[in-house]
Amino acid sequence: MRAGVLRYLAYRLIMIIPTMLAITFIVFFMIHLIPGDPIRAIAGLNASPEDIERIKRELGWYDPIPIQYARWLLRTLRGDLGVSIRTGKSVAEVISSTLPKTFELAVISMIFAVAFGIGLGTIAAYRKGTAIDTATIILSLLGASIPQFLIGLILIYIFGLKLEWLPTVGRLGPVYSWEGFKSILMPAITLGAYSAGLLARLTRTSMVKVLESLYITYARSKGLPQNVVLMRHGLRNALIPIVTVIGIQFGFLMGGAVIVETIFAWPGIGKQLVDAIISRDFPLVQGIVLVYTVIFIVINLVVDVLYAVIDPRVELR
Amino acid sequence: MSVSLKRRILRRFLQNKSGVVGLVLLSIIVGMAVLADYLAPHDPLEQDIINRLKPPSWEHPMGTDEFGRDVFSRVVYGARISLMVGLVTVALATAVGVPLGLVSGYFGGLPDNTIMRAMDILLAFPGYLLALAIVSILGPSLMNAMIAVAIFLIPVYARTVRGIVLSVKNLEYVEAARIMGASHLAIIKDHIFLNVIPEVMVLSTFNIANSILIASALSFLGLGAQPPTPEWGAMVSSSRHYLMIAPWASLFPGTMILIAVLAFNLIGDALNDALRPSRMTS
Repeated sequence: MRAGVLRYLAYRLIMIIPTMLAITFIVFFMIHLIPGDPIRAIAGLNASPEDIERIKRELGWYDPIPIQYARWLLRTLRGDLGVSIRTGKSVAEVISSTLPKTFELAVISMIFAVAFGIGLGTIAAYRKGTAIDTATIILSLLGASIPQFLIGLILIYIFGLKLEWLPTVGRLGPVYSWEGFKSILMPAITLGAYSAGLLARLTRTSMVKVLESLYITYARSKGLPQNVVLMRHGLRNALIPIVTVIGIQFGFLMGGAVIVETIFAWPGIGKQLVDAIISRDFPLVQGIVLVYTVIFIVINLVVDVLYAVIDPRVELR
Repeated sequence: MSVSLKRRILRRFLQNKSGVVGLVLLSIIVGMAVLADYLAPHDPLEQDIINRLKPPSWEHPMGTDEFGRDVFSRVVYGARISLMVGLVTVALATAVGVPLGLVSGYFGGLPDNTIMRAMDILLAFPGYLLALAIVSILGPSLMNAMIAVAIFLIPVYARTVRGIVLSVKNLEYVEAARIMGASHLAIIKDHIFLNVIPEVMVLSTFNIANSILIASALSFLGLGAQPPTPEWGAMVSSSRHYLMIAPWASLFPGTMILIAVLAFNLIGDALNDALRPSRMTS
């Protein structure tokens, strides 16, 4: 690894600290932004004044904000994210039991999106102007415009209800088991559709540009076989700008899982978040938002550094 | 902008296939929204339990839902809500984001740093998690969903506008205006803002598409429009449990969202090519 990359990594790590502090403060402060009496809103309509008083004391509500924040931050750094109001379970426990399932879903979606998107984009660029190229452009446009829940419902209707090939709800096992694999297929395709469309369009654009370049003409004139030209000389260069997009898309997949998990009753963290928001279970909402955002920031960092490692031309600031 | 330039842009737009398709789709949606009172054969909220989950017929062109409401009438009124959501959200985001970008880019220094760090933090939340967090604070309603989506879009405007301002603020004619003694406000208003308009128009068209998509997703999750409002996302959400016996009740409103979003995305693409021919996308 170049010395520059290490210095860049160190710089980025230091720059993350203020962002993280700001994020933690916003997440902590969320509860104070609830209009009206926040604690009454959290405790629900049936809460007695004693309940409200108890929650307020538990939260240290009467202390000054900076002290509350410092206490909350220290607790959070120790991994103590508080207790879910609705279920009484530890928030950290809820997150650690549901996050892997969302992660699994996001990984499978990403594999689908990369294989489908990059594959289709490459073919479209190679056969520019043909029917398959037009079909790719239309598909990627539809992918960007279709609501996730519509894809999900259409898939459920066709493959779940009419053909009865795939289960319509739940996670029926780990992905490497047959039942588990069948149950993850539709959620993964639904979640990955947008990214697949985006990757197809970007790969196509990038590949078209690369295929017009001189070194491709040179590789061809050397008499290299078509697939070598396309894969080793073409795709490898075309993919450099796409790596960043894949990383960012992975973060978005984790976020988009909220809808998909709701449609398919997938027991992940996104469904937990929606349930927590609807039941106003604030410690759980705060915990999930915080964990999600930290993961997203870390993914972005990894992507940027990876990018610098892959492409030596990238300027490191 | 001169007449001939306007005409040239219009011609370039109309020569673009995707622009024309987008306009046609959009006029269908706008037509539905404007003429809803005449087009809808039934009251969108009127229940008819005896005729629930009936398939499409002359009486009910898109069938009926689980309360026997006419899906077509609800879809027609839903056009009003979705267009309103798209326009209001983008207007809010533009009204806040564009001035932030102008100030940030023009003045630089401390205001720039403060504004941009704040925008970075908003952008640090993945996807529309920020919108979800805001709705969780304000409570679920269509209005709150719109506010949430608007806040989610603000940094996009601020960043883009700042970039344009940086690229033009040191050009000679801006310099000249400054030497002539024009005030900051006059320079921004008369010389810089004009450069920002095309980009903001393109961005806003795409953002209308985005905000319709995200707001309908929030409604689908139960965090936006509440029943019995005929909002498309909420309609899909409540009728999806009857997918097996009455697919029309959820698939028609879902398809309307696709058409509306697609219309704005197509127009955005064509507008982008027409306003900035040097940066053709296709």
